[in-house]
Amino acid sequence: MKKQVIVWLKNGMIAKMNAVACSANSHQVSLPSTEVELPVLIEVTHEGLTTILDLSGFPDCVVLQFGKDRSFTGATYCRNRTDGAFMVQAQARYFLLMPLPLPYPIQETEEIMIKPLES
Amino acid sequence: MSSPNPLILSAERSAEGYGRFPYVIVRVQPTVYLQFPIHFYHLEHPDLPGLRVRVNDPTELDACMATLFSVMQGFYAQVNGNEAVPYRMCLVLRSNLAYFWEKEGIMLSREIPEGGALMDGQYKVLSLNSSHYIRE
Repeated sequence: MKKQVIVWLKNGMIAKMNAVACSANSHQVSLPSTEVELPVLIEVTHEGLTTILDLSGFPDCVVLQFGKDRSFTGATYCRNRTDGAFMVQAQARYFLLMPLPLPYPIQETEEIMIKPLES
Repeated sequence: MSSPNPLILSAERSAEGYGRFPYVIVRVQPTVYLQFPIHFYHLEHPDLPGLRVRVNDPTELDACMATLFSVMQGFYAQVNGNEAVPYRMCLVLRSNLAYFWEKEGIMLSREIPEGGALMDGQYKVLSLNSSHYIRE
């Protein structure tokens, strides 16, 4: 399933995309490394404080993190260069996995908006 | 693209940066495109056509992209200054990743422009009915 995601930037511009959407209903999320095309939106639905994303072997991406109020809280770069495991643990309620390179300065990220896909 | 009689980008134009990622495409009209190569540099100003973007370290892609973002905003405004209907503009990063530039923002696309008549900023033909980048 896909959803339309709009990232608001601090300068008033927006970055719009159609993202593969999935929900995290447990504390740990594993994504199939080859079957998913970025961008990917993960909406946390469980009540726990943190979520662990298992990004081992996942394509290079930047993980944008947003809080309950959808405001930007942080980011992590995922660059798998070895066969070892790579996981990200965060308190975010929304994760947006974006392909690299990001076309705007990461610190310009302000807020996320999620909408049903436009037909 | 499998259109008949394709004319592919020449090695000579490729040496100037054409057909190499990242680049900017401006759609003049349907199937007619202009390509602007992007050159990141630190000290020595490159004598090459396209957009020249001064950065601290041309090997630091994330920092390069952050600077390119503001250059792109200026370029969009320059191209579309007084146009009632703005030209469609696209920043192509890879063979499967591009961002379409609009007044209010950018739109991610996993498909990039291809085919048609591709020209440089002086309206000289670079390729016809072919991909807009060099396939390594």
